[in-house]
Amino acid sequence: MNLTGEELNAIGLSIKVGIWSVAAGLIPAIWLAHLLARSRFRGKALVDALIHLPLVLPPVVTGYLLIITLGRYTPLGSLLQRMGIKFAFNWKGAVIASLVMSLPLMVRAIRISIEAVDRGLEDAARTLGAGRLRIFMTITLPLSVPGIISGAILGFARSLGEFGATVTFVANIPGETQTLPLALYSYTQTPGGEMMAARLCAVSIAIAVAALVVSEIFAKRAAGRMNQ
Amino acid sequence: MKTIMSKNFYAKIKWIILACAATFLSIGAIYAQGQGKIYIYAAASTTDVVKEIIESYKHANKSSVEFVTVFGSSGDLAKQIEAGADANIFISADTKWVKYLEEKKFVEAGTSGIFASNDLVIVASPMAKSKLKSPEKLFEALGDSNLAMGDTKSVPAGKYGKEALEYHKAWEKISGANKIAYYPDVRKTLNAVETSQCDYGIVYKTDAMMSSKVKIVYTFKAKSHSPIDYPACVVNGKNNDEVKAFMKFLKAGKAKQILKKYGFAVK
Repeated sequence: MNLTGEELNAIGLSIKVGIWSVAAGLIPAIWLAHLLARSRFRGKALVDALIHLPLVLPPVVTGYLLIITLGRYTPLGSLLQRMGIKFAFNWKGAVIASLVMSLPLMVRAIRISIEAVDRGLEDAARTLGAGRLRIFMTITLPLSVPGIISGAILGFARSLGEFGATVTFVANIPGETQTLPLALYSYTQTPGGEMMAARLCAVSIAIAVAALVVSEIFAKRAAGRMNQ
Repeated sequence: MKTIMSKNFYAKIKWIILACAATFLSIGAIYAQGQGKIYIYAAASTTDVVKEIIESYKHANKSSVEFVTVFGSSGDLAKQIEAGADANIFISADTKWVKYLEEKKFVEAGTSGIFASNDLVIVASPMAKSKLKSPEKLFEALGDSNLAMGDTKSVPAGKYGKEALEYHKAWEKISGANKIAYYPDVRKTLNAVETSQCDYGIVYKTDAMMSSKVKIVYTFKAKSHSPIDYPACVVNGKNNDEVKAFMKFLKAGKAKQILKKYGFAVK
C-alpha cells in the first residue's frame, strides 16, 4: 500500500489531533468527573448537561457554536488572537473541535470508575488525617486508572472519527485541518475516488484497532498492579 | 445433557427466525408503501426550487401522486442510486454524476438533459473591511483573512471557483499563500462567510441570493469557468407517465419562471 503525501498528511494529522485533544482534555476531564461523582453543589445538573451537550447535538451545530464563541470577531476569539492564539483554519482549531466532542466520553468513563471507588477507603484515610488532595492522589486516582485509560482511548477514538464539528469550525484544508475522515469524505465525493477512500478506511480501522489493543494492555497492567 | 443443549439451541434459533421474519415483513411493508410514489433525488442546491416546482406541477396537472424528495450532494445521491435506491428522477448539480450513472447503465436512454444553469459569484462577509475592486485584486482584499470555497476536488463549486481564479490570474497567489479554507459543500462555504470566519467566499449565485447577510461583490463571467449546468434524468426502469409528465414540466414555461426567481439561468 503506497500512500500518497496527502494521505500520509491526513493520517499524521489525525493522530496528532487525537493525541493533543486527549492530552489537553484528560486533566479537565478527571477534574470534572471527580466533581460530578463526589461533590454536591448548586447547578450540578446544569454542568452535567453542558458537558454532555456535544454528545446529543449534531456535530455541525457544535462546530457552529464554536464559531460563535471562538470565531474571529467574537470577544473571546479576538482576545485570544491578541494573545497570539489563533484557532481559525489551523490544526489547533481541529484539536479544540475534537476536544469538545470527546470530553463527554472521557468524563463519563472516568466518572463511573470514580463512583465505583469504595468511599469507606476515602473515609478511613480522612480519619487518619489525610487531606482532600492526598486522598485523591493516593486513593481515588490510582483506583480509577482503568476508567481513565478507557476514557482516554474513547476520547482518542472519538477524535479520530470527528468530522462535523471540525469541518464546520476549521474547514477542510489539506495539510492543515484535513484529518482522516475529512480526506475520506473528499474521496467519496470524487468519481473514481473509491479506491483511495477504501484505503483510508483500512488505515482508520488499523489505527482504531491498534489503539484498542494498546488500551487493553495498559488496562491489564493496571488491574494486575492493583491486585498485588 | 444432549436434550438440554438442543432445547437451548432451539430457543436461540426461534428468536433468530422471529427476528428475521420481522425484518422481512417490515422491509416488505416499506417496499409496498413505496409503490405509486415518485422519488426525486435532487442536489442540495436545488432544494427550495425543486420543492416549489413540484407544488406548481401538482397544481397545474391536478396530480394527486405523492412526490418524495431526497436532497443531498450529487455524488452521494448518484452512489445511492447505483446501490439500488428507489429513485425515479435524478437532478444533479454537475453533469459528471449523470455521466457516471450513464456509464453504469442506470440512466434511461434519451432522458437526460440540462434544464438550468447557475452563475458563480464572490460574496463578502458583513465584517469585510476592505472593498473588492476586481477578482484580480482578491488576494490584496483578503488581508489576513481567508477565502472560503468548496473543495476543488470534490465540490463542483470549488472546481469552478479554481478555474475562475486561474482565469483572473489570482489562484497562484491565494492558494500559494495558504489563504483558502475549503468546505465540503456550498452551504457550509456560505455559512463561513455569513459568520465572518472568512471575509470572502466563492459560491453559486442562487445560494448567495438566499442569504441576507452576505453581499454579492462580483459575478464571474461565464467564459471564466466551465458551464455550471443542472441536468435531470430518469433512472433506468423507473419511467412512467407521471414521471414523463414531470420531466416535461421541468423544461416548460412555468418551471422556468420559478427557476429564474431563485436566480437560476434558463435557456
